[in-house]
Amino acid sequence: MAEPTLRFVYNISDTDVPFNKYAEPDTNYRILTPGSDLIVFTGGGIDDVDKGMGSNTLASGTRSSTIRPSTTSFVIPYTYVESGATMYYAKQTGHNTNRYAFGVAISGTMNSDLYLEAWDDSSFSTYNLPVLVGTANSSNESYVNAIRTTSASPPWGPGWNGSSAGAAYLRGTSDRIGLNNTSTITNAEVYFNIYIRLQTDCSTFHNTPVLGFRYLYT
Amino acid sequence: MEDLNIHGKYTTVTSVDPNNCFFVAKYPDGSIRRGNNLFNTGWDDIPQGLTELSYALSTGHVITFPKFKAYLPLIECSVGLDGSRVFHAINVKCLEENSVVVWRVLLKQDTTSNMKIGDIILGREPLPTAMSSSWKYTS
Repeated sequence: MAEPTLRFVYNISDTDVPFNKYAEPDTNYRILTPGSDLIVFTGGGIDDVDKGMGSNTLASGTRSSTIRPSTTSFVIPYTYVESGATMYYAKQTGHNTNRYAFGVAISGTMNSDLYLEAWDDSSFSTYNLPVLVGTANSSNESYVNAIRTTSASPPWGPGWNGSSAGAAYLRGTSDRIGLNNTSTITNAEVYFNIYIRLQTDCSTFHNTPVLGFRYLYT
Repeated sequence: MEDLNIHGKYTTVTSVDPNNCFFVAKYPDGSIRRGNNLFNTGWDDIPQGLTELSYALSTGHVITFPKFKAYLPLIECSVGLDGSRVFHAINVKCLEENSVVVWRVLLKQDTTSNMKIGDIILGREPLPTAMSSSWKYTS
């Protein structure tokens, strides 16, 4: 079989609903184009209001630097996807119980699960960036928390993290999530939620790790 | 010819040219079926009953596999949200009487590892609970 085709989508609506591939364009979702669109975790700074954080759209390039937490860990509050001249608020994404935040629509067959991984760059070989290395306060785990939500919403009380079932502190191949939790996938949609939690002992950084999707096919 | 160099922050990766890597299957009548590339391998289109399986890489490596009861080659690939795509390995599953031997043929190398393109890592798996139609049996 030929290589399966992947389409990446993100929910920009106020409702936690799945992607409807039969009614495209699905107005609840936007297509994320690899190579040109950029997922941006931002906000939690002194100029959130001035920058309009929380608005449905912002001008491309808008950032509100997160203040390094001093007393307790802190989740970067806003996730946008920068696409062309506009940044779109991925409203369902974050430290919440929302199931349909990011999705991958798969056309064709994979002879494995679809694995979500995080790496330093497109070499898919190293994970030395501060956001992936973590610190003592994160038990030296990655700051990037991601969870499979294809079959169920994230657990709560007091909230999911990389240790939850179906979740990982994303870093390389040893800390990754299978998005369908099956050994094969054919013509399906899989979903995940993701957030970054900063610790009080973190350095100040601006990192651009690469989220990668690994799979097998014939 | 090696086609792809990725200069990462901490390493440089060299990868095969996926357009110029393909399998070669030989049959009892002397005929040969050649695959296409790593994007559209053509594996599911070849008949059963092969006598020998090889993989030719763009680097000039040719890996010929010992004879097993059946083969299932799986391409391992990553797609990055930065638009990148890397082919990591060909995992050739080889059926034995009581288990499956996995020949993992590496398709990339980097400066943080001693492993090179064309190197083979052997593994073993239990027999699958179900055999997909993509398995090709030898004669």
